[in-house]
Amino acid sequence: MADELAPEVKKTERWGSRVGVILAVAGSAVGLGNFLRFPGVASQHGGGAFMIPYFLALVLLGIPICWAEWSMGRYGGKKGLHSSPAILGVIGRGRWARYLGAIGILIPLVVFFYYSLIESWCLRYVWLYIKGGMDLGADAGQFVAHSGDVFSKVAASDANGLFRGESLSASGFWVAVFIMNMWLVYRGLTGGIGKFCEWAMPAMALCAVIVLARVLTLGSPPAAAGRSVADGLGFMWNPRWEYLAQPETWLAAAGQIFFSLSVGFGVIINYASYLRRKEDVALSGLTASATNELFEVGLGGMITIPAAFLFFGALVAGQSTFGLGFNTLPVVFEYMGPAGRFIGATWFFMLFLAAITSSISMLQPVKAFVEEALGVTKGASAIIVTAACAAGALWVLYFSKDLVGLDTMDFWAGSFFIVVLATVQVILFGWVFQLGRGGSIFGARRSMHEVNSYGLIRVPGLFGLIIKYVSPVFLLAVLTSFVVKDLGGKLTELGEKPVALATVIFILVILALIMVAIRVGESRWRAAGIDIDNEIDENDGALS
Amino acid sequence: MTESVTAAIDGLSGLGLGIMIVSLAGVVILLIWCYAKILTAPPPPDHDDE
Repeated sequence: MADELAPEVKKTERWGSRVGVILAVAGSAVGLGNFLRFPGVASQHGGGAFMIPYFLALVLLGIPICWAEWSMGRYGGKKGLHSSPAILGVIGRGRWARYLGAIGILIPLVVFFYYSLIESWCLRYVWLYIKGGMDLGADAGQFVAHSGDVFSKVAASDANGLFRGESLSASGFWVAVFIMNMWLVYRGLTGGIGKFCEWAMPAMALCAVIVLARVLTLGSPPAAAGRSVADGLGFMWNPRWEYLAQPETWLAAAGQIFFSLSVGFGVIINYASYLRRKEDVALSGLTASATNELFEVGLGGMITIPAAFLFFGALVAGQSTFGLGFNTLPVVFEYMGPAGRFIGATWFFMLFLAAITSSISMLQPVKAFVEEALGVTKGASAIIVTAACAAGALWVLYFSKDLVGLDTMDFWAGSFFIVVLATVQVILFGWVFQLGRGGSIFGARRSMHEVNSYGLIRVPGLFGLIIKYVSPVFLLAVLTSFVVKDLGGKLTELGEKPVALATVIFILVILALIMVAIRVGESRWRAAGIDIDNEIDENDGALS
Repeated sequence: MTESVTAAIDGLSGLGLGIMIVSLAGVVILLIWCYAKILTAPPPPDHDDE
């Protein structure tokens, strides 16, 4: 049936190898959050004690939702569909699910707008370290201020506008990064994304190990005011059990796992749709999650906070992701002396790799959707996707003052909508898909049959019940906490900051355009005779 | 390196060190097990399904 889609979609793309798709999914998941957000959240919420709710959330929330997404993607791929709206329409057996799937295109598209910029900051920091432009001066008392100045220049956050001094340099690095992303995605799954991730993931691990080795050998330098790296490790890992009695700790753990694994992003569902019909998803999903955990717990948890605590003490607690990564750590590298230049370049190259393996994963679902819904050729989709991404990124670049445009997109698309989409997905998979022919209202046999089909491991049936009952409750708790803690402030901000309001309107316009494209695609798919409402389910016979 | 890593271990409480080691070891063992299974598994039966 895919043969009746766009000419370029006729020959279905497939992943070249199991490891290729696993590293691509892991590359999508491993991002700045693994190295900067996780250690900050863990040290703020009980240190070592945080690992208990963290690993529980991994088992009860993260991995089950990953399995659900991998399974939904492979299922949609069997019908020749690769975009989140089309696949969720199949899983949810109808139009409303298809239109909710628009969020699965909106999120990667909007997040790409600002993520490509953050990626360009990382590349610029690498460049600054290589050419020796990261000199924070001779006065250690001014390191923090100078580091802040450098970040302000790199991010061009002093004022709005495009064609002015700092913004022009920022634009130059962004153009380079943008071209790299487009080139990789349009080279295809195997030759572009897969091949790049197979190289980039080990390179990222190597960079992290180099930085880790330096951090662990810092000892107790003179600038550390008597603190040693041991204190930093203690700050990160010593358990403070009283935090386990606080609901915020459990929500923070659930939120961290959730954002870390790239679930609810519209990416896994798209990537998994290119699996072969009889390919495993159970072990592949688990392996991709485990790879992400290695970078998060094994490397992120050992580098950032211990290094920053050494020189700043408990002041590092509560720092923002950007503050820790782009302001504080350059000061730490400065304190390292001559070696700091190499370590700084290595660190930011690692962040750049973490960012680009994520950003290419955001482009692929958008590319697939444009080709699938509009029926255009690869060349036409390249023009449409490039134009859309450039327009959005230029919006963020233009409204760079105090990073208001970026922050607004990050909150709505990069946080709020992700929780919404994940909730929709687990309800569709655990309830609507399960209730197809042969599925009982209380059980999860039908959903788990899909997870375990052609599996290299057998996922216990208990996980079906977790997907059905526990994951939605967890997600609703995260969503409620979000609404209570952050939504009020963000809505107030819309009234106070015209740029934030304009950015939200911009996002809503994009959502409306995606819905129009879904409407166009729906007509095309029906005319082509594609089973978009899942009238024919191959699992019917298997379950009877 | 040995000296400063030892210093790092000294600075952690016993429990903190234990949690760190268990967390790291757990992740690494899971990862090795997963990749060992993936790399030794037979290819999917429908290589020609395109």
